Amino acid sequence: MAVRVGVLSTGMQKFESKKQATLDEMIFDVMQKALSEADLSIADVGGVVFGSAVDGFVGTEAPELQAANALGREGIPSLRVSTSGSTAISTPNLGYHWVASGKADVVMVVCFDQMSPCGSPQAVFNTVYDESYIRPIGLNVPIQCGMEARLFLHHYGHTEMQMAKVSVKNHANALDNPYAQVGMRLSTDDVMASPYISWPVKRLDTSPTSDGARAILFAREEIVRERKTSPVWVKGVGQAGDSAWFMGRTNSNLGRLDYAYEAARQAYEMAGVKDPSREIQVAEIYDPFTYKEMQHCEAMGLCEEGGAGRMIDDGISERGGRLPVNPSGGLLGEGNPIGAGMSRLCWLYLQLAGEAGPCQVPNQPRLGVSCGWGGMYQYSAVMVLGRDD
Amino acid sequence: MATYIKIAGIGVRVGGEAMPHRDMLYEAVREAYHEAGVTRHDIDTAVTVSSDLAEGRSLANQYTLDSIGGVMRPFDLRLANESLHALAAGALELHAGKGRRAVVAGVLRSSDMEDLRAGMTDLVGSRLHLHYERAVADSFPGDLEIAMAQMMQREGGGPATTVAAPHIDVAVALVLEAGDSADGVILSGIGWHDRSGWQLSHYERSVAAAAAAARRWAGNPLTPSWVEVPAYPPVLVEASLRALGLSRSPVEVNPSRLDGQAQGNHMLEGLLWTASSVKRLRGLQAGTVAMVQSWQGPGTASTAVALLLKS
Repeated sequence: MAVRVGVLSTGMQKFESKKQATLDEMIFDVMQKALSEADLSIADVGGVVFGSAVDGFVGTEAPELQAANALGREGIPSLRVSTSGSTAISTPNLGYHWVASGKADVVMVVCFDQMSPCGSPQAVFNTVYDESYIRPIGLNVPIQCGMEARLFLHHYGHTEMQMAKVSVKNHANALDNPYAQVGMRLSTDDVMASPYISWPVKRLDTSPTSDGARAILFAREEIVRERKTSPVWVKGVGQAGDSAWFMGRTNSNLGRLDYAYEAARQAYEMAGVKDPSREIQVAEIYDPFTYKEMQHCEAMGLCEEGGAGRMIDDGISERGGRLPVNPSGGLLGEGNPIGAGMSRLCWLYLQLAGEAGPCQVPNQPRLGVSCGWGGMYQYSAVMVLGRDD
Repeated sequence: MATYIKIAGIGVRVGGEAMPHRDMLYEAVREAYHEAGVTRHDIDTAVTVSSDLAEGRSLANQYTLDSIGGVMRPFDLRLANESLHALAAGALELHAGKGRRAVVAGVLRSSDMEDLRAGMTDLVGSRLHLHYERAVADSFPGDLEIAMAQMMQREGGGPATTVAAPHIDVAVALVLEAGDSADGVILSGIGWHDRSGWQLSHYERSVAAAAAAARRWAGNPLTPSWVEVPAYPPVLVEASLRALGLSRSPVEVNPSRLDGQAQGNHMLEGLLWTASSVKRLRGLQAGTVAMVQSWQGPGTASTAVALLLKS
């Protein structure tokens, strides 16, 4: 029987397009905030899991070793996870397993990325493609996203206007988020008039590049109960991936994220969730592009397959809606330092703990889901958090 | 929660002049699955290790999933540290009840670096702190690799030598199996310690801490019959033995390299030597212990120690 694992605290900082801090300083900042909030010192931490998406952003091979130097205590064992965007959840998944294994009582998870030093994050992203088969055809992230979004809209009958509504919602939500990079009041006309990056994805359908870090502390049940009157527990985890060679997948509909459905299925099974559209009360899900939030709403079972357009049209996913999605602003509004997309999980914890401040959703939620997405448009990691039943 | 972690299957593919990464890894994993008597459907979680810079593309790990049989399976955990760290992550997942079996695997083709010395210098240089250390590196005489060797020599490490190992193309896979009874070769304990660092003293402190953690995990001060330790540059052998407290011990040093395995400071050393030690342990009597110590490579003081027990 695995050890029960809860969340003790988070460490947050403002995301910025170019942060005036070194990687070490960013990490030290969020780590100290998480420790301070939990009333712990670094001596109490039994292990650290670092997550960052791509070494090329930071410009350093094995940046986790510099990060380890920033902890202020030599000798803490650490592990590093790197799964591109899904680092956001696959890293805390490993932190959860570390505590659940009984091999450490308290584990800190620190996710970070500093995209500004590389000058051109898209140039770094271009290096993820296979040098023999993919790079020669000129595929890059915007083009691939455009292809995927077109298929998604076409297959399910969703529209660019519905994508624009997601942008309006998340950018407005970010206005209440003190750590957000691009909170703003937009109209759907603004979004629709913004230039195409790769049809149907427009500039305002896209999250910005960012620098920033997040920390979260996991601990075994006894420690969590000592410090928290309304503990938030890790209820379920899941992860799955499809082939990196997208032209060879068995599912030819690239608009349907089979692997995300599978990762969600695992996490819900572990959490005992039978009908997520009724049981999940708040979601902080991966939205580097507007259509990605819609895809993830469907894959996480927050609505039926093909129901994401209706969710945004009917206001279900608004902060005051029946099932709020990204009430903190998501990556679109808060910023997107890829690995530090773990911010979605941090905000989910804050919502369930009732500590989300101006971003708090009404009717104190007790169960929520977060997810990350990454790689060659191929893998997903999911975590379900919840309070005691 | 699992009581024991058995190493149920190993697969090694050394050399691969005309073979891409994915095929090398596939062959090693297939061999490990075959030896463990399992298929990909029997595997519950996976950890892979790779290097973006050595492989020449970012997110190198994303391409491992197909080779390990991970498509639409629930084991998409990917790690980028040195390889014994990956072994530790796999063991943690099994102890946490993630499932019964894990595969831990990695692949490296250093022959892809046309100029290995230049490649190593780039790799080591890229580990330098962006703001503090790279400015200093500009003042190093000659290339960075030689400067590092000289630095180690100044600390009593013997004659200056290059730290770049010969080319090695290798893929390694281990199948871990959780259970309540100890039979075969088990991973008795594993510990690791991480930081960047240039000095031999950093390295030794890291090894000592990793070994202490491995013994704590094992819950038993196991005495190894042999140790596998990094040997490039050669100064590291003595440094490792000192840090492990085995300088005056009759312990065998580096006896179980598989045929054709070049020594080198590459990220797969730990898994490779674990595989070769498991193979050797299988033919020995119960109670025999082997210790494997690895290093993430120049520019780091990130090390790990695994204790393997024939039960």
